[in-house]
Amino acid sequence: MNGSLRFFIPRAFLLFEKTVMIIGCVALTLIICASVVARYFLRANLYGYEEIVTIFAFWVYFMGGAYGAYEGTHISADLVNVYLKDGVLKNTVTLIKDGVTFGISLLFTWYGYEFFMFGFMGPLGTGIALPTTPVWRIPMWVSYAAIFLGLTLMSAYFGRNLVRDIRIMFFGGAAPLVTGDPAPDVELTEEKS
Amino acid sequence: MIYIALVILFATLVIGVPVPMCFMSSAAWLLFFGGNAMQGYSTTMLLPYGFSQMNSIVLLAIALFIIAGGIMEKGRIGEKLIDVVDVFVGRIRGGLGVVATVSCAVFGAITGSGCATLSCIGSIMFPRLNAAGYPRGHSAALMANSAVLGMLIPPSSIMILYAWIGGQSVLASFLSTVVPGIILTSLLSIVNVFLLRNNTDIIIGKPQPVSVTLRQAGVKGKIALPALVMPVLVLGGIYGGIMTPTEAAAVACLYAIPVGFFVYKGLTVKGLLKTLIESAVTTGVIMVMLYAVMMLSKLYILEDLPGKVLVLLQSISTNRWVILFMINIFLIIMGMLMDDISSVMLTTPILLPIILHLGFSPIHYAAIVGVNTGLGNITPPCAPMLYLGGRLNNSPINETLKPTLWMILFAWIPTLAITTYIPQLSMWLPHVVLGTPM
Repeated sequence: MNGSLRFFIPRAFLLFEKTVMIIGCVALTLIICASVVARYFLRANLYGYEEIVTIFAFWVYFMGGAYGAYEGTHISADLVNVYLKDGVLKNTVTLIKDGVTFGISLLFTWYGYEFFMFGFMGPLGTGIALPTTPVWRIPMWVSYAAIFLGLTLMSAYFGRNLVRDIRIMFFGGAAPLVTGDPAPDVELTEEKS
Repeated sequence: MIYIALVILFATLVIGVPVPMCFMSSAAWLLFFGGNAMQGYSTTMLLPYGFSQMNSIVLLAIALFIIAGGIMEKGRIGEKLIDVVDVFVGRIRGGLGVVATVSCAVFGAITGSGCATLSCIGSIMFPRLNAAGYPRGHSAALMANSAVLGMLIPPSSIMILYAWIGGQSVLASFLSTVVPGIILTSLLSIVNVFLLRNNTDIIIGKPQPVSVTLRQAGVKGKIALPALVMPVLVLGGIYGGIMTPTEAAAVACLYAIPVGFFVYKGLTVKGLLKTLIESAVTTGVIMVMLYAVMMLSKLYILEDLPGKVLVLLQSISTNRWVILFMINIFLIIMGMLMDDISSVMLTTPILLPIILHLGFSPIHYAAIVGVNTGLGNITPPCAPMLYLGGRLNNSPINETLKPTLWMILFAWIPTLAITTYIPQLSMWLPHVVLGTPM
């Protein structure tokens, strides 16, 4: 892949994730506060605001989850790092861990795709009778898309970890530059040479 | 097949697979090989089921309390709360430790998260404790233990999760952990003072007349007034019936922003954006895990795992108090192996039906879960609070472990025993405030 494109795409996704998270958090806070203000000061109800709030919530949840996979902040027991000494055994267990993580995330990404298509094309697969929210008739695929995209991005980041650890195990290399990370020294040296 | 699913769950956990993927691995096995005659289950039902469970406004309270905690940390709101507590107990040996413990409890009345409490109060208290000559290991252990109070003093993310998964009242679950939380605060303070009673390295302030203390309290209280309004706003709003926990959390966020920006001047636009991203990531990590556990618990229930666990427990004893003791041991072990949120998510759908079958109140069980998961946070090998406390204070884990052990023995275990075997303790407040049957 072209070098600049190789950096641009992952960084564009990261920027997208951060933007969605910020907009989502602000929107959640403001809409819910507005509902309280409307109830007590304007004596009115924000009709069906829960539907909009939960759409924002799903985008925050899954973009946050994806960014967590990028940062490596998903919760794990991490006993391998604590109790195994550096060496072949630790590298092998790490590789198995990455393989399982990537494989399972791919499987659920596929389920996420099916779920999204169910919302996008409807139960008959014809694009009619799409599932929508009860009040505002917002198509449900708007929320389903967050799940599918979040799982896809998670798979990409877990896949990156797998490739990185394969390189460490077999070539002793550093992390490949596919996610917009600051460039590790080894990779820079390789690219310069 | 269910046993192999459990083996897969624990094996993936042990090798360090991210927890949501561990849940998904176990679920995938059951999807393909579960059910009657290993026919598996329909793959199209899983994600929609998880979605229907997650499509709830109640869960948003967790996200919003995390954001509020982050804003308070960056906005120096926690610092002002500590100053007020310091006036009253900062002048006895070990008093600064008591300040730390009580501050965690007060801060817990706003954030609902142990990690937010530790990172906020810890970042302020560690330099003070170190400057006062407290052993680093002791400070880290005390702060890690005390930060868990953020989970017990309402609002509490763990209790929201428990109530939501178990279909219980969020308010009653919140109230069930208040008395155990107060007992724990007292016991941790006592253990702290006891452990430091002969430590002559600690610098303590000179005694001063009560009138001076009161004057200082007035001055610091005035400065801290905007910060002190927050617990009143959150708890008063929830228990006054004015707001739901989700609304209270949103209002807390909105209130904390101008206070952080203009009153205490600790917040910047860049800091706020960073806080929002960090909070969203924390929320996302929790919610993806929750989505995964929803799918898994559905499959476990289809496989009748709670029934199988009950049969196993009853094969050991039919006395319900003995079974409750075994459930406690099981929860402690789970707490040692995984973090608090995963533990609550995984055990509640399995154990709550057993608790109800045995005739215990689900609100009493909420308190047991709260104390147990708190204990799990500081019990190795998986002790996230302890590690975080050690890291924040640059103290080696072996120096942190000894004081932690004392605190477990003389604060945690007694609190857990009292909570388990005196149900009135946790049931009294929900009964008085909400009319929950004892």
